[in-house]
Amino acid sequence: MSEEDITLHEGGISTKYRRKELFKTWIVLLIKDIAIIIIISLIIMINSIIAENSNIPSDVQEAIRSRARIITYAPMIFFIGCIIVDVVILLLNFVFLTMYINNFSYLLTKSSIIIDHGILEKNHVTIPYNRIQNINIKQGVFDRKFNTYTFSIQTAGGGGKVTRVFTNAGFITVGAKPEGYIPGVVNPEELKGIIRQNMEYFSQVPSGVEDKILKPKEVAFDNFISLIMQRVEDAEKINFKLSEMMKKKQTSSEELSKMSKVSLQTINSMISGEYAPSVGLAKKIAVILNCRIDEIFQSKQD
Amino acid sequence: MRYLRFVKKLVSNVKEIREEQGIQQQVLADKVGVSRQTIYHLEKGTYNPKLTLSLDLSRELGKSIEELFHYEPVIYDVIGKATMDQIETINQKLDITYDKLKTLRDIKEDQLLNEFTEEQLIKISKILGYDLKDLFEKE
Repeated sequence: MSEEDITLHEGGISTKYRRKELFKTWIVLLIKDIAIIIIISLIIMINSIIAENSNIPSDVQEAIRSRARIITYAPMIFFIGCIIVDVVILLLNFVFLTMYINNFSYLLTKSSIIIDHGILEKNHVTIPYNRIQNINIKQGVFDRKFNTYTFSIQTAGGGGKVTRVFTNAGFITVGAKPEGYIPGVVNPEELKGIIRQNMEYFSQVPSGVEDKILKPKEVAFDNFISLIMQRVEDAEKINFKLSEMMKKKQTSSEELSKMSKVSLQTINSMISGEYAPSVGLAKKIAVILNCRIDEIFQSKQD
Repeated sequence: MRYLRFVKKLVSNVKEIREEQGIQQQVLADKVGVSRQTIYHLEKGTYNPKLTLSLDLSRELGKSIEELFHYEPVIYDVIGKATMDQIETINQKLDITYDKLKTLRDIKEDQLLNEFTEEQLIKISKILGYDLKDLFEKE
């Protein structure tokens, strides 16, 4: 096991997600049942109004009354049927959700996020931290009641395909979820914290070399130090005549620092011959002192 | 009395000198011990080289550093690259002819505000697509 595979965090969907989804389905079914009851009572009401209307011939009234009797009993049977269907839907939903939760797991490793999901079709999604663009934490109406969050990780490549199917209980999302989709998360801030930390860790490295460099900050610091070391080493190859020239032109190091907009330390280390400047700075100093570059900086090899 | 200074940039003459002497980039790079890319960027002016490298170059090419690099006001390049539209706009809006504009290239810094007003210079910079502070430094 390499260092990148070390697991930082491990988790699955909370069972609260199942309760939430069942509650959602139940609410939808309830609305449907209430709608059915309202429609049936409206039909009964209209029927009885027509039946009581004295302007209608008595034989027609009788026919309507007998139909109303049927309509009063039929809804009872219809309603019981509805409840049976509801219970079956809730049961199926329960089974589906249990399987979904049991088959869903995610891992945060040092290099990527790994999500495993799928009941029949097994999906294994690996998202490297350097591809993550942003993290969305959503808390819907039902999420709020059950204190859960939907976590989605957006990647540069865009999300996966989502198929939605209309059933008795409204739209149900089936098939592949978006790439970094984790529903029913109880601790989104903790998860976000870990991901952010790792994203920062990778963002400072040029893409393509992330795996080769383990501690980018240290490398950057090393580069900086080696640049300074190089400048100091270079200084040994150069003859510095800066102090003589400054004496000749009667310029103090403070003045020189102010005019060239370079720190006093840099000027002083050039005077003492410890630091080799770039051509740009050398030229600037030469212009300020009104002389030529080779009058102040000379190669020792010549 | 306050006056304006030109903002200057380091311009490299290495390309001209190298071509004059008929040396290839790669040959020069090998002689001074750097990669060809370094020479390329140095000639293009996108790279401010180390003093040791320029001393090596000056030895190889037999020229002084002063000849290899020089400071040039940014406005030289900007006026040189100005389009006909920009020159016409300056002519119409500020009543400055191209000949007058060109004097910006060889005017002395202390004479700058005698020839042009600060307001004119701000407008010229803007028409050329720059801020005043990109081209001139206030003293």
